[in-house]
Amino acid sequence: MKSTHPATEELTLLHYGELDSSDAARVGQHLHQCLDCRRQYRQLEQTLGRVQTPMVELSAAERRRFADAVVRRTRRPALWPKAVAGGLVAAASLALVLVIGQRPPLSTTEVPQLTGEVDMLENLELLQDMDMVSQLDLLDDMDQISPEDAS
Amino acid sequence: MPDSLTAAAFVDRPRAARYARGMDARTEQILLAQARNGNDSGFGQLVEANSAFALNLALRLVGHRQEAEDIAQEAFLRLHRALPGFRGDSRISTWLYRTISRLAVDHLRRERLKRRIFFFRSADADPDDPDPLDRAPAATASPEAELLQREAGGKLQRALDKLSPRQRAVFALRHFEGLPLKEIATVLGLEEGTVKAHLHRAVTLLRNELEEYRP
Repeated sequence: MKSTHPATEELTLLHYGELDSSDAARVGQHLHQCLDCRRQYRQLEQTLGRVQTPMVELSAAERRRFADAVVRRTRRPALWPKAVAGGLVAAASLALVLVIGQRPPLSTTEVPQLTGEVDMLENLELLQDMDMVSQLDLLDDMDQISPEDAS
Repeated sequence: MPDSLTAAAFVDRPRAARYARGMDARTEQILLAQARNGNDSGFGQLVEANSAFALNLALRLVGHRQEAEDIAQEAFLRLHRALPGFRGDSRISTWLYRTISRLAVDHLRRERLKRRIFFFRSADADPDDPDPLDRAPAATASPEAELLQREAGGKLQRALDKLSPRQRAVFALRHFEGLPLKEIATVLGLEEGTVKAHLHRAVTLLRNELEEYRP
């Protein structure tokens, strides 16, 4: 009798030798018996066998050049962080000066009124008016109800 | 030198030992001590001895020669900065595995994000999700790029590009570098179960992609 088919993940792990010995024996035993799984495993091996490893050969001169480039970079003075930090501080200071310089002076006697605030007040008044109108409609309706209807 | 993995030389099933990696532990310790004392020549020799390993590792992780070179250089610069605290308990190659793998994953994530922003796509998506854009053919591919893509390596490159950064890193470290999943988990700072899941998803996606090109 055939054992349960192994999961495809188990076939992958078997291929890479990552199943523990008891699982490897179980899956191996199943593959021995099951043609479908054996075919699937063979396909997996064929596909992964085609995934060949890229390899770059470096000559001695290329290795030397690479090492020289790295060593040169280690010698670069670490000035740029200081320069960047200095630039940022200067830019922030300049921006602060400009913002303070362009801001209109506030008068202590005047109450500043933004157009947005005025608009909002007008809208509130409009809302109150609409509320009153709806209440008037309600009163009108009540007037139309006769005492007989109410009883 | 070829600019991308597609044109790089391919060899079948190499292991890390295929290229000359580093030097013996004793020499490495001596050069490390020299480098710690500010000896550029000692540090240069360390870099030179590990350059092929670092470059190949980065190439397998990101797939492009120039990007791989940038990542390898950055890793060595970090090594230089870390020298005062580098006790040498582990080999430089172990340190490079961890640093280059993480730099590569970060690089691949940034590249994905850039592409998403460029296409005005949602930037808050999980960077580990496979990018649907990868499924679309490159509308602006130059004739030269198309020619390169027709090469055998181009098929693999396209398939690998469809993996999420972590899937790609796990696959590269297992399939190309032959690292056990437990070590990959340490290198990438992940749980072993997560690494297994990434490997399985990567293999499934590659199988689906490469099925079309079965000879």
